Amino acid sequence: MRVREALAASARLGRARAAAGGAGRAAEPAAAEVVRLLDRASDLYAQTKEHGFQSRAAAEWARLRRVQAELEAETGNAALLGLSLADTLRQCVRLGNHRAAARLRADFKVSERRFWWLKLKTLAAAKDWEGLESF
Amino acid sequence: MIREEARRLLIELLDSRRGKKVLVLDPKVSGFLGLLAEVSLLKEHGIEQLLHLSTEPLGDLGVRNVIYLVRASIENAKQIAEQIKETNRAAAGFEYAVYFLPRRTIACERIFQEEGVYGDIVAGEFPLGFIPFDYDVLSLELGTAYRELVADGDRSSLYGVARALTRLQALYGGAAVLKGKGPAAAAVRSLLLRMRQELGMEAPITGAARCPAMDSLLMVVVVWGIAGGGPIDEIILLDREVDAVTPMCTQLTYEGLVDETMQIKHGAARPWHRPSRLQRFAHLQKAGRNAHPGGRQRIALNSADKVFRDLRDLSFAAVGPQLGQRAKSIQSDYKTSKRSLAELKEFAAQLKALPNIQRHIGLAEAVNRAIAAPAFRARVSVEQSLLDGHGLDASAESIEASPICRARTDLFVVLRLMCLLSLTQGGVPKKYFDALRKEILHSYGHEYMLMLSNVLHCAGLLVRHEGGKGNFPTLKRAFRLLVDDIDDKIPTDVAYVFSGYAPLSVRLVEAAVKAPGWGVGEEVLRLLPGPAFEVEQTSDDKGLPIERPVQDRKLTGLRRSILPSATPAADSLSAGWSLRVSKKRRIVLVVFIGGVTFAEIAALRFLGTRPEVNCSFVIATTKLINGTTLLESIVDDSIRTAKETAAL
Repeated sequence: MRVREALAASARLGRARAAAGGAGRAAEPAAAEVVRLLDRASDLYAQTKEHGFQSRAAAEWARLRRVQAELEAETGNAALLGLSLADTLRQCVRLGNHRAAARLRADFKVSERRFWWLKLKTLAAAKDWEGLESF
Repeated sequence: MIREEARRLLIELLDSRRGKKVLVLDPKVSGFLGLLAEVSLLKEHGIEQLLHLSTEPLGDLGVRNVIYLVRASIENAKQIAEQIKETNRAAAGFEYAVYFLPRRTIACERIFQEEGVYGDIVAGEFPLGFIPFDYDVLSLELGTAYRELVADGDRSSLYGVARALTRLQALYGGAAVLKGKGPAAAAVRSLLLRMRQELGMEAPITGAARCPAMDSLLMVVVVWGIAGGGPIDEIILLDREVDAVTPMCTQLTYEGLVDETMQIKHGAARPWHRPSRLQRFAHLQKAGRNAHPGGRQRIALNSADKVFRDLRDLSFAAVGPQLGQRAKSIQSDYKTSKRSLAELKEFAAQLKALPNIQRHIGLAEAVNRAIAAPAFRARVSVEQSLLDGHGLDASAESIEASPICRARTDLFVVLRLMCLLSLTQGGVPKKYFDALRKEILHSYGHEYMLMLSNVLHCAGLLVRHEGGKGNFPTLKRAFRLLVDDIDDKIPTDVAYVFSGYAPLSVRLVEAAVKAPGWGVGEEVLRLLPGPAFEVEQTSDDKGLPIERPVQDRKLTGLRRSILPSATPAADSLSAGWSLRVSKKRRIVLVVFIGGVTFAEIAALRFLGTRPEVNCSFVIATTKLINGTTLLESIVDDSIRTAKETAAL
């Protein structure tokens, strides 16, 4: 089991590094490659019993990157890819894209309390008082 | 003397190459090199230029001699090989000498061979031992030792520890008793014995310094004040693995808090200096608009600063009043002074300390600002309840909430709390394990996945609860780790350094010096990892060094252990003997393999002042750490990988 885990991890990392080398040449395919690799890593992790968490996390990561790419294409704003989930949510709130934020929240099952906290803090930090009032 | 020795080694190394030269340093080395030698000393010995290690070609420096001084790591060897190749491509005729710290390794030489630069290099080693950081603190500055031992299974750093200890004993005389606990400690013990056997008759003799000039020894002892002037009586080797809980807690002494909030590096802190509005205004007037007010100022923190020496080990709560009192006493002296010449002289001496007091008021203010934040208070209270073992659910939830509610909570603070949770409860309960990890991934990015699952798991710091309560509650009771009524201002127990929690490592030392052996039951010691041992370093009939179980109880300096003898005359004799034994203050060298925190040092210093202990402690370690730097050293490269991955 250990061996397989190590294999999966190193395969993922090795290829991600290879992709990093290629990133300079063409950013688009590299990003797609990362998502594909993450899916593969998730599959590999799923083959063992005790790495359910890692498997889920890798799948979740792949999903996050897909959503980020979609949102970037939709809004024409290229500052999402590579951010963490919380930072992505923050960015959406800051840009006033509440629909996207709500979607992310539903997609990744962010708890209500977390989400409101995040939104409140972000709006306050951005001094978006109107947004806070309509909250 | 240790410092002198290190300086001599360095100068010999520099002089070994003739003419003018360039010194290329590993960034990890340059920090503590400053503690050994000043730039002017390097200049005196022909160093024209100081560079940091990189792969850039050296270019035209006007000097043909290049000396590298680096840690023996594969990474460094690769960089050197690269740089030499690049330089040679541009211009020939350079001469290279590479000195590895603390010793050259076959792996590094192999890299030179593979890269085809082996022929151009003169390789050597720089057998640097302990670097004195203070009058009673020695460090090897091996920042990665804990990680190598626990996560990588690489024991090469232990060789450095053993050699430095042998060197130390050669200078100050061998220690009679050697105690230790933990796997790394056991390994160092066997290395020590082997090194003594290799030295044969030359091995340091117990209790006597084999120093050519005793006078110079005494002089240095006065200068550095090491160990009150005598040879070392006892060495206690402690493996950090035995007590991983302590570094995860927030240190609450003055020096500890300075370290926690602004990181003390190589005996100095660089606080963010926030000038007052008036100062800022003056600054603007003087330097124009673009000038940057404030900036970071380097403050050296060691015992040479008398104010700091008195304050460093106090609980932070007591620091403010102390500083105020000092400032006030100078003021009142000024008012009441009768102006006789002697009084004036005394007063002037006091005034000299004034800038120091001022500086520490500034530093304490900076610490105060940092700890007044609600995040800090929450962190400390979670720590306390985890150590208590009460309100587990509440603390787990507040850890879970901390990264998201307070957006900028440091990742390492969260990790430290998680590790503490895992260590004190014998693993993180199932229902929180995944939730906590998920929260970290969500807040800081999924790229930290590997770091969480592999690295911390390998080091045994973060594991899932698999039933049972873990050892911590038993240890807590056996060693009385939690002390309830602690007076921060007038402490009576070492627990004041963590405001109620006595560090396990210090309790172990306390038990070991108060009683023969380890002073605690076998079954308690067995709960901690690795073997515990107690041996006497001595020599056989032929004068060859051996080890044997401690027979002479006098060596451990305990009166009660001397057996009552049959005749009254002999009895009084032995009583006199024991009195002498007990009067003599023993010098105990405590070696923390894998790092030591400032709070533990403070606790040991405090222990040294207790009448019932009657020991002076000298602390040697591989690195001065806190929980954050410890975790950083463990997860360092996986974080680098994570950042690379995230940048895709």
